[in-house]
Amino acid sequence: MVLCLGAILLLASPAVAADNGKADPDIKELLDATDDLQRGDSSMAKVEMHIKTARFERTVTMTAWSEGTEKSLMVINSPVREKGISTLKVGDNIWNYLPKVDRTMKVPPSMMSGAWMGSHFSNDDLVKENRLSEEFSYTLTSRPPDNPEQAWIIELKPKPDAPVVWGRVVVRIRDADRLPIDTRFYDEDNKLVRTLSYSDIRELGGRSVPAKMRIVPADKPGEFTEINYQELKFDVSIAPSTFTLQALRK
Amino acid sequence: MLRLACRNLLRNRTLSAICCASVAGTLTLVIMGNNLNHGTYLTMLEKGISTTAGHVVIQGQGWKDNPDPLKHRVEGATELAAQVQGLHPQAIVLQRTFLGGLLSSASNSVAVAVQAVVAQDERQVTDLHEKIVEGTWLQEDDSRGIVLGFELANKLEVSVGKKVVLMGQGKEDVASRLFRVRGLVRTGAAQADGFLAVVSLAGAQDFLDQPDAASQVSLHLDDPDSTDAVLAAVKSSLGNREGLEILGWKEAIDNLYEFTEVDRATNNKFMFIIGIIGALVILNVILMSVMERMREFGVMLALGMTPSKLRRLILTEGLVLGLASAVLGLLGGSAVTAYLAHAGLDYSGMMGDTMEMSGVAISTHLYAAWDLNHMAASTVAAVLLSISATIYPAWKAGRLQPVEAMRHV
Repeated sequence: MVLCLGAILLLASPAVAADNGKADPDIKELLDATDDLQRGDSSMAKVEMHIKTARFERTVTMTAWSEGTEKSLMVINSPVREKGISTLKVGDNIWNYLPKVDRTMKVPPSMMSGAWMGSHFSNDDLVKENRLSEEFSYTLTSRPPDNPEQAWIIELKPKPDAPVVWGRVVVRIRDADRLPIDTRFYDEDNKLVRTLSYSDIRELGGRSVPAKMRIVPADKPGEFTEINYQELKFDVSIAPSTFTLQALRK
Repeated sequence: MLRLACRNLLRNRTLSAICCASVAGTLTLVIMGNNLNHGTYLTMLEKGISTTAGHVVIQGQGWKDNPDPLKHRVEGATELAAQVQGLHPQAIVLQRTFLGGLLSSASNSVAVAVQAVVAQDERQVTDLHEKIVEGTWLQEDDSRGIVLGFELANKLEVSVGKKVVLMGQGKEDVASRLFRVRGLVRTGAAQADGFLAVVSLAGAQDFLDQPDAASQVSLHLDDPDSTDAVLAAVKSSLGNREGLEILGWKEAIDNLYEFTEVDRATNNKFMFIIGIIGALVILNVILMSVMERMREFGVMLALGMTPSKLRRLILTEGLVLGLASAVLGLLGGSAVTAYLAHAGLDYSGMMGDTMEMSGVAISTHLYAAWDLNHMAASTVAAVLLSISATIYPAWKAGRLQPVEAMRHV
């Protein structure tokens, strides 16, 4: 996974759950396809993130490295004011490094759902993905011929005691190329809370992937965060020391 | 001498009455004010003790300086609670865990203060279960239930029956756990209504992965005065257990206790100033009566009365006046206190049902309490101030030259 923004990996996680058996083979196949598409043993990406809120609008560019789903490192390249700010994720933990004050801060649990770099993604979105497989059960609710988008629609329901705030999550996957269209997050009252959509399918790193992801909170009209991949490489060699606190400071 | 002093005072009844009334009035005010404050302090301390500590608390060594449930806790809390309950069967023994975390719903998340309690035992000590405005209080063994302050529920946009996820630092990684909202409380304290979440102890133990541990085991006594004795008994019984700190309530809630003590000291200073003003009234009255009686004193001195006797006469007048005023003031203060201890002073029209003082929400219906030490001290102070106010007039009278005094018109 490239940016390791959990929301995307939401697609990947049910595939893991499907290994438990019993599931509709269609879903497993589908989700595996999207999963493999996004996953390399390691990856390097150059990304532009565009944030628009009621109060500000800004663009941040960064370089990201990842290894599996557990480790990732993101370094901001611009704007100049924030250049060098880095985020390291190993397992469930996130550290931020602020070059101006030369400090590494572990993001405390109380800040986990704070906005990451001012975007509509939370710190929690960064770490959550690898746990989702244990937390959701899923059903295929619609097959391509049955709906105009020609999409597979999969509904994910959190298991009764799973620590998930959503009431349900709906994923749509296009039949033609098995690429995700969007993921919608609903609360328990079945009210849409946010939508993550994918577009601009391009060849990147030798694979055809959606280069643009946009997250839109339902209760804040006009606001969104958009992520554009400018460069993406899979299976690059990364020194294991990249994902350590020492490296974070460099 | 005493008779002469009394007779002198009675000669100018109006002046003496005004003087007496002002001193008695001042004393009544001081006693009333102090007893009302005393009552409020007692309510606050009681609230602080019942909600966040106990008369005697047993907690993990270091908890007081760093309340972090991951670092300091009481292991084997159930057994320990049973042990202290055995020591003091009439006490109510509570186990509680306090932790911080982030509570999220689908639409929002808020950093909260979580109190993990044994729901049934908690009812006997705090009145939180009576403050439920929607839903119910936690049931026994409800490890998934959570009770939220109603402002907090508003921020999270959840209602009774909805789910929320608590996230916090677990043993190694970030821990998260699903809870279902069972009830909403409205306490009137912004801190509690906006940031308090109550869960069962079992839920918190699961969350922290600390089976049978609690932040605190506390004893709640019927008679707070027996704290020291119970504290000593608990200490000697648990002395051999390592890693515990055993505190009396004054140490356990030292912030609140110090707040009341500082506030008390400040009030005493104000009251002392009021006392000085009262004394100035006496000074004025006695000085006037001395000036009025210049001729008289001149005659007395001419007839052979010694200046020191004259001085003593005037001091005696002050003493009698002071004593009479103090007795009246004490009676007046007691009467007002008796009324306020019974009926109380209801500010709810002005400030709503509860107000927050030093982080503790107390009812705005204030009741006075008898602070006997302070009453005795202020009565004695009133007498002493009365006497000291007559020193100057007495000294002045003692220096009179008989001839000049008799000529004085």
